Amino acid sequence: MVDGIVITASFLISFPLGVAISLSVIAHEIPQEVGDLAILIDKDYTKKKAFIYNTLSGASTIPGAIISFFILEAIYVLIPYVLAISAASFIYIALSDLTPELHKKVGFKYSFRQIVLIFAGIATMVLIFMLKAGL
Amino acid sequence: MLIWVILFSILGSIGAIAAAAIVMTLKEELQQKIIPPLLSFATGVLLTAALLGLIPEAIESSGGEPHSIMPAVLIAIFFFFILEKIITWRNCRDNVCEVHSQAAGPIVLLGDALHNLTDGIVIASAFLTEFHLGIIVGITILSHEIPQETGDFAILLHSGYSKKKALFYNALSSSTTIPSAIIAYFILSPFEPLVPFLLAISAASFIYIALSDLTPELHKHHELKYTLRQMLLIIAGITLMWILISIGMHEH
Repeated sequence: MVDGIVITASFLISFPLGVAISLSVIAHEIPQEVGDLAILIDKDYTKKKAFIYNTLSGASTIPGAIISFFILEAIYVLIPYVLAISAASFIYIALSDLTPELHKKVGFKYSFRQIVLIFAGIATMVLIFMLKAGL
Repeated sequence: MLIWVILFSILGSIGAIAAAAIVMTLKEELQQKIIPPLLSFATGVLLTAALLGLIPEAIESSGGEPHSIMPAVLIAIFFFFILEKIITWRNCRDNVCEVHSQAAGPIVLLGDALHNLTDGIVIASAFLTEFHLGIIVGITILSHEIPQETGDFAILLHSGYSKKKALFYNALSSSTTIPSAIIAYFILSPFEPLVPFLLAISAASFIYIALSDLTPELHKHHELKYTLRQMLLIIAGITLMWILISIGMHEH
């Protein structure tokens, strides 16, 4: 649901920012949802049931996005604060959730791959932002 | 100003070692009562100093240009990730950590020396920007160095150092703050356009330490009592820094 609000706020600022934010939400949601599914199946949900419930909880993004579109369009001054809170959530997830997970793997091969992939993530985002600057 | 740079370098290195050494002489149970609250408090202090002190100051002193300062923060966070990969032994406060071995001692000391070297540069660049920023950064470094050095002591003792030897080497590796602060103070004075970027890098290191090192440590305790205490102490850290930063802003 929070994801939906973030997506709306960023699109209201500019189209490329919206695309960039949506990509970051997707990039982080995929491993997250896989993890959630694994937890649900581990808790004796059947695969089908786990999938349905997970989709339902995941779908809260959509009303979140639509409702906040109308609210934020009306209360424009709120948008910068919504973006600031989104930035905080992205930084918090990246550093306090994902980074300790990455540090669990030791060994040169893993470390090298992680560094290359983080760099790829940075490069993708930077390219999109450059596109924004070019428009 | 130099005298303040030296004062806070000594406090943040030798002072932190002295405080850590005192903590180490206490009983195990008492240590366990002191260290976790310090970690929570430091989390609040580090984040507030970075987000409300260093980053806004860096942006203002670079002429209000966030698009040159924030990339520096981002790149520095990536750099700290790589650095932590190299020195995975750091910040592991668990005495029975699997990674710890006989080799842990020298790695901890080397990591500490490097870390404190950058602390010195951070202190110097903050004081060069503005007096109140120097005080804020000085307090932040001190608040985070005390639990840090206590952890280092524990690792050194665990990997077979005698108490005396651990104290000596830890003090030696920490003292890199002092010469690096003094040298940075003189080198940076003519290169003032560089200072905002150094502030950005310091902010990145504060954020990285608070979120990726200290926060996972705090999440290891789940009970309501601990959670409440952690939240109160983080709020205390935020409040203290926020007040200090607003006092500084009135002097502008």
